[in-house]
Amino acid sequence: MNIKEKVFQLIKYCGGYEGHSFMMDERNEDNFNIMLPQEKEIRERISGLKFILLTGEAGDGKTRLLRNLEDVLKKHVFQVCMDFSAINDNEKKDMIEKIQKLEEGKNGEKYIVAANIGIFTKMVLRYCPGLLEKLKAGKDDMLIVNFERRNLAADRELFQDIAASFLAFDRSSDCGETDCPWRGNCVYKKNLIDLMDKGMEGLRVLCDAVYLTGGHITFRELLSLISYMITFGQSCEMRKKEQAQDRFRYYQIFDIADDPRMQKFCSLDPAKARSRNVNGQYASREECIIEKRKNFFEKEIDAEERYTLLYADYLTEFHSALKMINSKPPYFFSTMDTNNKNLLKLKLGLSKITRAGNTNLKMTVADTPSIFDGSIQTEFDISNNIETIWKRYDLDLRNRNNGISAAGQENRFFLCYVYLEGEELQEKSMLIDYPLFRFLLMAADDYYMNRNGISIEEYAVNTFYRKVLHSMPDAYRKAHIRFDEAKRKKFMNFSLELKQQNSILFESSTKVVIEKEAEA
Amino acid sequence: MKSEALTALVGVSAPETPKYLLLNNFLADYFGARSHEKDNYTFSFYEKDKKILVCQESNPEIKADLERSFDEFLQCFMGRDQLSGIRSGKDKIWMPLSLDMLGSANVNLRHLLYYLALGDGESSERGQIREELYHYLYGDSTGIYGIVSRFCGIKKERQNKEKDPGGFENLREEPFFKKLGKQFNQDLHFLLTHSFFREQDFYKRLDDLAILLTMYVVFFFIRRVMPEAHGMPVLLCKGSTDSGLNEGGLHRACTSNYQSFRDCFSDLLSDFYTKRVMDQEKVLEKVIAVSNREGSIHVGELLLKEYLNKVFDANYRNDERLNSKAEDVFHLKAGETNQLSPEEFVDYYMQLTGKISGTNQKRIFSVLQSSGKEIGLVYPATRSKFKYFALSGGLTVFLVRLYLAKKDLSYAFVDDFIKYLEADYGIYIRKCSKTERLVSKYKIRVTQQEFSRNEQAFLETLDQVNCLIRLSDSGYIVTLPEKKGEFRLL
Repeated sequence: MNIKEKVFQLIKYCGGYEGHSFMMDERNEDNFNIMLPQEKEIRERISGLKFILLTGEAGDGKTRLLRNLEDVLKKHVFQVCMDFSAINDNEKKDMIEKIQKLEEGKNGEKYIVAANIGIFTKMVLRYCPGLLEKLKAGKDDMLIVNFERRNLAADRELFQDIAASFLAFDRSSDCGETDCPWRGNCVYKKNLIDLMDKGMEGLRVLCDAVYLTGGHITFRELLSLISYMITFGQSCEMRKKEQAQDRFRYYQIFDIADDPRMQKFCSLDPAKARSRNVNGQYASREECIIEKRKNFFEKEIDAEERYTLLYADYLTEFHSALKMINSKPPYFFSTMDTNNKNLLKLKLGLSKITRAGNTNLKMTVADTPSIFDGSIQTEFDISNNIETIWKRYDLDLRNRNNGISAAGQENRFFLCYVYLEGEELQEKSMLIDYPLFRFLLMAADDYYMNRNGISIEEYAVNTFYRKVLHSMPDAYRKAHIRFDEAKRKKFMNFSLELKQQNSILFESSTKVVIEKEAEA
Repeated sequence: MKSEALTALVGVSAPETPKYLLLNNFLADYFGARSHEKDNYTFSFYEKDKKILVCQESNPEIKADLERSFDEFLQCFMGRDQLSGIRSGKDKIWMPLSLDMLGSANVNLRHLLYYLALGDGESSERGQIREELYHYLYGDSTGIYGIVSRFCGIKKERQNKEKDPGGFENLREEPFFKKLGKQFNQDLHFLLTHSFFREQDFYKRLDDLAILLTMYVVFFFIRRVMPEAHGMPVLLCKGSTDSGLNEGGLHRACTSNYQSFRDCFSDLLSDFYTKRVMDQEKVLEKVIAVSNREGSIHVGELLLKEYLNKVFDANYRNDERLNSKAEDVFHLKAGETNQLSPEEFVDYYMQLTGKISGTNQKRIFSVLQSSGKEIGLVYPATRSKFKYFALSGGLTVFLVRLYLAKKDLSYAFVDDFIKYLEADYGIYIRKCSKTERLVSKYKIRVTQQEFSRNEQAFLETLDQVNCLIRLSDSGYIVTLPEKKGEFRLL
């Protein structure tokens, strides 16, 4: 395929182009195809499966996967629901009930269902609420492929395979456009070659960063991004009329604003990131922008450093913490003896949030009734010896011995308090995603926190520690009563502690001991 | 006018705020309450008299500081700031931290909620509610309440109340009352028994119960003034209290919607008064002669004061003031007589009561306003005349909790939650045939975008109170803040 044909093919993947709708898999006539791990897994396990759910956003590749698997599904007598969203409510209900029966072993048929996660979850919650937990628990003959949890950029080799196959063209061929003013200086060609030869890792890190910060990139969006980077949504005819080519270099992709799907990439623009100027002074703002963007894609640095060039605080730290939790068995680590510096800092942030202004690592958790309206705080101690762990998102502690062995790709993890209730292991969890991680690290670094009202992040942390307190039998025996700044002049902080007196001598009476508290 | 007749009609005689007073009075219908005039909730009382508190501080200055600090803390916890200035009868009301602290009160909602909860139920139902109430409030003592309850529950005795408070005979027969009562009973049962509510700290439990009670006062009022001739009354509600929604067609429709309940209330009152007038034997000919003679306004042969006291059970004493206002209202000069139909007479009378004092109409209607304000359903909180219904964060999280408790689920789809608000409470935030009909009745054009913006605002409210999980472009899940961290996708 020569460069002109390649551009014509790529431009159809750009949202702003009039022929864009042809990239919908249902109508796509391109032969571009690559076997993804999900397809491989289904092919390997199909003989033992009775139910497969393919779920994800539009553009994730559900239809494509079904088409690729057509033969093998026919062979194993699977009934196919191509689009759960397209069937009517009664049929949806019927399908959910069939899955329920199948899960209970009362239905001998086999199904594969492609569904949007929102609509599928809605119907399950409406008609068979218990099924959701059962599906999450997993069974050998049931496979849930949730594309929303897939990170295409997690596997470097696979990612480069996808991009390289998608961009492949004949570098030596001629487009034959003799009247083109840019002949011999074709920016399409430069973009293709530079992206493939120098910018591929930057592209992967960019996609990975979107995922890490809580976004999701569908397969179609990835192809769309790559196509924009090469063509900027312009055909050869349009490009011929352009005066300058520099603003259409692939690393200027962050300027694309007309396609809303590109927003998730643009928000990470390296030009907005605070970083040192390696070449001294910039001559102009434009030069600064170009250099920062180009550096991000083309500078030869290690992968970790590349994350720091993006406009997202503490992303490198988050990436590093996730890497440890997701890829290092046993996938759970005591908060007491983990030496990962980012997790230690996270712990410091947690302690600062639970007790504003307190810098030591003793946990004092505010559990203040609403009646005090902020003028008085009631706080309780959590012993330093309680067992809290950092835990991988998809790890079930109770089945940890039969659990996952491969490295995970999750963009979140848990902080858990674990304890025994009888013989049973119990856990109280707090989900830590990028926004919460960032918030806690900012707290650790003493950034100014808005104290007018409680933020969602503070709320999440408080809720978690309150749950921990509730599961500790003696946690509420001693309370610290603290007055706010205005009241502190008139009143004194004190503690109240329950003391049980000897039952033989004092008829089992309980006293409350009041003591002056040292200032925090 | 004496409150009895009118109260019997409407079911409420005056606003009962704050919500904790309502809560106190509801509890007082089930348990014995007592006077707190002589109660002594102080440091020295607990240290010297009761010997519960132990202070081994040797420095007298520090001890004095501790004493003041402890008293301040305990007073705050007992609700001093929230209940300041509220006395019911002679008694001061405290938060019912134990049943011994339940204050006796002049109940001015006339046991509305008690009867609403009871519905057609037998006395066993009353016993069940009592048990549930007791275990809900005092069954768990985690948090600071575990320590404070040592001070406030000295007697630790429970005094059940069996006496039937009486009243509501006519209202209890109304279909709307029975229907609403059944719903209230169910909601109350779920709130009192489900772990989503019971596992909260004491004050959250107290608060949630107070919200439910106050919410049903609002619903009672709405359904009383707008019976379900054409289905449940529609509360066109803003999805958030954000002032960004205070313009355009939707805002006007919301204020008109609120105003419509006020208008219905006036109609209800007017019908009530007219019936009272018609019941008088002297108006068989359906004409009432109002005259200004001998320096006073007369109705037939009676002085106006005597007539009003007789027909409306009113209690007017001051002739002079009544006459001067009545001359204005009835437009009668000395020696003139006017023949009025009963409807015209009632119309004039309602104008007259408005001029004489804070009208009954205003006072009773303020039940909707003040109760709605207490739970974050009626806005703005200022004295603005143009009120509207809007869902605050606090009320939203309560409604989510109640919905999930009723479903016994940790998560539910947001669409189903919105449908539940529509079907069970008549709270509408988005475009549908009912809201369409409503806005066209008000002759206001509300665009699809405005309704979408309102729905979006509601999602933001849910997000702000940490009850929302975004699945993808097409899906939102509602959950409880404490459950959110545990949610895992498929």
